[in-house]
Amino acid sequence: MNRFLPWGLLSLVSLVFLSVFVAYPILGVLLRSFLGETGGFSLNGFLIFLTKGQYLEALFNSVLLGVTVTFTCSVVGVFLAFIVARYEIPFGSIIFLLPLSILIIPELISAQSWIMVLGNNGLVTNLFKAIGIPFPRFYGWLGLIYVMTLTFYVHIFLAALAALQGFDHNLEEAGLSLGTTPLKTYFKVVFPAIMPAVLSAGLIVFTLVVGNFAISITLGQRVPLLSVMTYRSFISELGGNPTMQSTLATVSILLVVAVLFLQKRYISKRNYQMVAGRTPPRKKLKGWKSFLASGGAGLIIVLSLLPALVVLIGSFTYSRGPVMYWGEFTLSNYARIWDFNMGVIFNSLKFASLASALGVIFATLVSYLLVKKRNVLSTSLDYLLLLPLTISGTVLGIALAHGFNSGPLVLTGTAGLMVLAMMLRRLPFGVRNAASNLHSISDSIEEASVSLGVPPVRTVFNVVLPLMAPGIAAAAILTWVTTVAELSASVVIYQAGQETLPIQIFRLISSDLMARASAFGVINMLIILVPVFFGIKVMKVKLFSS
Amino acid sequence: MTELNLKNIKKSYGDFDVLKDINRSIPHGTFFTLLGPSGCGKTTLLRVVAGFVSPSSGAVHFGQQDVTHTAPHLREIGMVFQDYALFPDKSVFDNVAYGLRARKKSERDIRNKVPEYLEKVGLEGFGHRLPAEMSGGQRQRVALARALIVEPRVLLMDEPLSNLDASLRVQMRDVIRSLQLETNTTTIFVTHDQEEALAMSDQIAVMKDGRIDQCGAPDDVYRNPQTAYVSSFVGSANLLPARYLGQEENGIDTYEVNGTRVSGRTMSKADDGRYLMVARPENLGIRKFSGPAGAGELNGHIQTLQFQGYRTSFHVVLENGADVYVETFGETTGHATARGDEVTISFNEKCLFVPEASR
Ligand SMILES: Nc1ncnc2c1ncn2[C@@H]1O[C@H](COP(=O)(O)OP(=O)(O)OP(=O)(O)O)[C@@H](O)[C@H]1O
Ligand SMILES: [Mg+2]
Repeated sequence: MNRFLPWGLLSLVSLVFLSVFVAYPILGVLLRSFLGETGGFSLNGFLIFLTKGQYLEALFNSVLLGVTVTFTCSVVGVFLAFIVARYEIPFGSIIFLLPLSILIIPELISAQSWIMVLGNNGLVTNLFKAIGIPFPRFYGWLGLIYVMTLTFYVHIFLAALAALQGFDHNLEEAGLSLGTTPLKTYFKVVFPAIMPAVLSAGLIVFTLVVGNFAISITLGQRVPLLSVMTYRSFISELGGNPTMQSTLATVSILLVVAVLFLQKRYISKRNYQMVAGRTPPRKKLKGWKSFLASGGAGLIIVLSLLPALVVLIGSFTYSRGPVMYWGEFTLSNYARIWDFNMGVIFNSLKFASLASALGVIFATLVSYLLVKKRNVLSTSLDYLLLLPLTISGTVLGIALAHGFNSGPLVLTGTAGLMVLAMMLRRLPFGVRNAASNLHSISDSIEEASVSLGVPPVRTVFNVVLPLMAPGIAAAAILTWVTTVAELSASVVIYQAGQETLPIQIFRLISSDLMARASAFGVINMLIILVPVFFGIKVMKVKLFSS
Repeated sequence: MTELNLKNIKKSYGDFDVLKDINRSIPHGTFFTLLGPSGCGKTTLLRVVAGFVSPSSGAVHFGQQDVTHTAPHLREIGMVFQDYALFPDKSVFDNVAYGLRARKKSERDIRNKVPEYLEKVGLEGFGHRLPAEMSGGQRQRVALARALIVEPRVLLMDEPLSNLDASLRVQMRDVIRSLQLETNTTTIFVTHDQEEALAMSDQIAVMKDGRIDQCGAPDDVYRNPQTAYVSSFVGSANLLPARYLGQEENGIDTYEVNGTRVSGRTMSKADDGRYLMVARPENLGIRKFSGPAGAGELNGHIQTLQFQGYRTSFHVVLENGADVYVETFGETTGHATARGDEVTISFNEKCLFVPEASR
């Protein structure tokens, strides 16, 4: 009898699963980018990429957009973090809504709502027109930077806030006592200390912007971007020569890998951790300073949450084609869904619940194997789990669509592929959460159970899983939230009849049918909100603990 | 009856030999302590007995049964860990009942037996608490009750007291030892605290680099250390280089130590003729200097002295610069009593001689 057998076998199964559904399709994309028209090896794809101006322009634009948005997010995020960490502001307690807002308001809905406010037929645009003041074009760089900043700054806000709260106040006082002015102290002592946290969050924002699909395609018609171009080349080349889309996908993979590499180098080089010190007391501000601080913070918070309100009102607003009749209310947008589109809601619920369940089970299993039962396969598993991080949703969709449309395993067009795509995107985060959870459970607890006569596998169910339960619940909710909002991978692989809420919203936005899109948006947000609310309020799950 | 037999047990990780040929037979009901410095393989040996580590070669027998290839959960053992390893989400009652439930005992039995064992460890009425609501000492008592309630064939404890503070540690020694005697459970106890080992054990195995250097009853190990290593690890000892001179007529071995003749027992022969004299501090005589040292005597001066009531400790520096520690008990009048005093140290037949190579 070999008592290591069950774990070794499970490791092997996990390895095979990840190899087949992650490594194989991604490898396929990389290889196809070196495939010529006739099938042999060729660098034609890269040659076209480098010589036809539009592709290089798209790459340049994507990087430029990434850098710009990372910068604006850093400014907004750090500013807000400072105010929240250091000063008493009148509405400080609703700050906790901010991290929730990125969960509850999918970026697609955020983009849509800002189009409804500032776009061609937008509320504010029309107001300006009526007064006779020309309003700048929202589509393009302005809209992209604006909406992306409001969508992604929360990442930097949270990182900076954590760093500031862990920052030892003594150091700051030491700076002040040496005679530097408060402002100088901030720049000399505080900023360098929170810089590593801000930078690593910034790199995450950069990859999110570069890989972003929803905002890029709805607002960036005039600006060629890598992610949009990759998607378009897939749609237009479908069934034709896959070289160009593979080349574009390969370029974006390389871009993200480069950033991850940079992050790894930077983090490992400057990993001086702040000893959690005395948190400084919050100060009260007076006069114009108070106005500036609370006004600024309040504006950011209002702008972050506004999309939910706009979409809510929009969903009850009467419209004819693209024209919204603000102030005229109707239930017809919902009635249409009830009459014709309930299938979309069911699709979303079906795919997301399957993907969440599968994702959480798999993440729990793999993290257990990686933390508690390491064997010769563990290192390979570690690396395979990093792979989904290197690809955007669009690239994952393309990889899966091509990987499984012929050969021994044909999945293209099946619901299984939709579920798989949604599950894989969240998997690395799920495993990371579960693993950090497991590290805090001492090995001797399992040995105690085994020594008392309970076999190893039953021991896991008896004593390990109950201890992991809160972490598993949090992971399940977070996976649910991201899968219900998933657009970029599923929009690549879905077939008629498999439309999900985000896909439906995306199609309606493309046709400028904002009121109807809003109704779907509200339903989408509700489906996200209910488990989040239930988890936090009823099950007391800590969503943001790790 | 569970006699525990360890037969030629070896364990290596790569080319690092953690356990080198461990052989030992432990009679039923013995409190057997593995004593040794960090990294000598105590935990590894304990886990070989538990079944969490498979030996590279050799066999483990529980009574007549060869359990070398038996999975840990089938070995009917009890374990107590340094970090308690209580199930944090389960109440004290459920923790203690865990092994009984695994054995499919009826809930009625469990309701009778758990309070009985909680009482044994002095925790009656604590059943409803969660581990987090108890002190370290209380947690370790729960762990002890949880391990003993299944009436294990062997009880295994890996440094169960080292997370507790000093006074509690002494108190828990009694709890563990008296329960072990009451249940007559064969026990392996791992520690690197020699005082603990001496106070609790029926037998002590002093380990060094994956081997058992010496094994025996506490007083035997203390009085008759076979090696220099054991002599200084169990209790404290003055070790002075000695040269073998020969046997006296009465058969007692005589050595030259720092230029004086000392006779005593030779514990084992040194192949190279180089020996160390082992002199326990309490076995040395000390008196005020009164002329040249005679046979078995050396002169020196008191470097420091500590008066500790029932005993006094002296740190003496001999004329050749060697350090010697001496302890006297009871009345100290007649002894040298001040720092810097010239003194004469006398060695007696309680001094032992061991090979220098056995350090
Ligand atoms: N899984 C392993 N792989 C490689 N080496 C190991 C492994 N487990 C233990 N060792 C090594 O075996 C030696 C003995 O370890 P062991 O844990 O048995 O020591 P110990 O006597 O219990 O020490 P301590 O008093 O510090 O607990 C150590 O040098 C340790 O590094
Ligand atoms: Mg140990």
